[in-house]
Amino acid sequence: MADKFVDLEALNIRSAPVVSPSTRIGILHLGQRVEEKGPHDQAGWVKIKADINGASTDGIVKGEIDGKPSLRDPVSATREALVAEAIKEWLRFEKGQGIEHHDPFFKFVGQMWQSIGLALDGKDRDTPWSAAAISFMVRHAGQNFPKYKNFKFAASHSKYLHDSIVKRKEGDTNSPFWGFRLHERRPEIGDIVGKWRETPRDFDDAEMSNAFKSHSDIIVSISPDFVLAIGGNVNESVSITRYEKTASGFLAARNEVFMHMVNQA
Amino acid sequence: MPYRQLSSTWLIAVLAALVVGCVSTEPISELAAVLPDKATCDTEAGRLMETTVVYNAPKSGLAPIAKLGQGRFVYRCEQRGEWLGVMFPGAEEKVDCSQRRPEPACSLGWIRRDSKIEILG
Repeated sequence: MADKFVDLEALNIRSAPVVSPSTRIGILHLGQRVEEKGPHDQAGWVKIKADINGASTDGIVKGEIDGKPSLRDPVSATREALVAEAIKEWLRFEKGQGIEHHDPFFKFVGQMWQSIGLALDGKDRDTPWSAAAISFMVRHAGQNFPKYKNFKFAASHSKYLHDSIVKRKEGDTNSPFWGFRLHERRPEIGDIVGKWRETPRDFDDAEMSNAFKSHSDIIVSISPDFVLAIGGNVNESVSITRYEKTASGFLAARNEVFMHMVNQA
Repeated sequence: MPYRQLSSTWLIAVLAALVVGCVSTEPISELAAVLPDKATCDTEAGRLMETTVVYNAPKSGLAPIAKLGQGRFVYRCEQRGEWLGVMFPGAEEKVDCSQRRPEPACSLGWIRRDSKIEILG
């Protein structure tokens, strides 16, 4: 028996090792904690216990889907805490289907603004709330892991992207994130992807300035060729974005990605 | 009044008016307004980091048309020299200038280009 986490956006849990609507007893979501009970007699299937609609339920899942393992091992408790907060917001926004200015989702956006001290109610549609969302997730992860409280909470991603580089240069081990160039570290669960918006930027720009249009997402799943990351104000919701990796396993400098914040919490 | 004396008095008055006009602050008027092109304004609001004075033309020496406090939301518009065009909602209004359909429109004006505006997102 071992704790595992679902590593696919959705995973069917079944009563028998047969792919049929009649055997499906529920759908597990990305990041959901399950208990692995061992391999099923039928090859390729795994016995698990998981929470389904509030009830602890025995069932089986496919071990792999399209070559990717369905379940992953836990990483450190601090990284899992941040991922759990990102997943919580993704679920609160109906897995990316909850539109930011609709009720009740605008209220959640309002909570994010208020957590960084801005008196916005979430109904405003031309105030980008993505950095407020990341700040909100990190702040909540900090309830049990105090190092996250040293995060540079801000309404602008560029503030904490810059701060993570400065803290790394200073060797500040109390900082929850250190900023790296893309080729320096391979991404891991709980790290943050840094992107520019509108105007191309690079690591040197972020080292020099803390005021430019940018974006960031929290990495929640790692595959050989890509990572999945969750962020706010993505498609007017909290949504998952897929980022490509290079053949060497680093985040690819594509789709505006220009830096990588490594989790030190 | 003799013609010659009238003429010199008039000349002095005209010269005095020109000199005063060159050094005095221009009055606020519709004629003086050179507002930024609204089509150039950003669709995302920024947040003023300090109290900022707004003028109705991109030049020095004008009387301000508004004073926006720290934390007020503005939208960046076109730049002209040392001036940045901005669009801004009223003090008690919602932020959404770019989303408003139909009008009333937000106000337009100019602030110093080096004014500190926090980027959101």
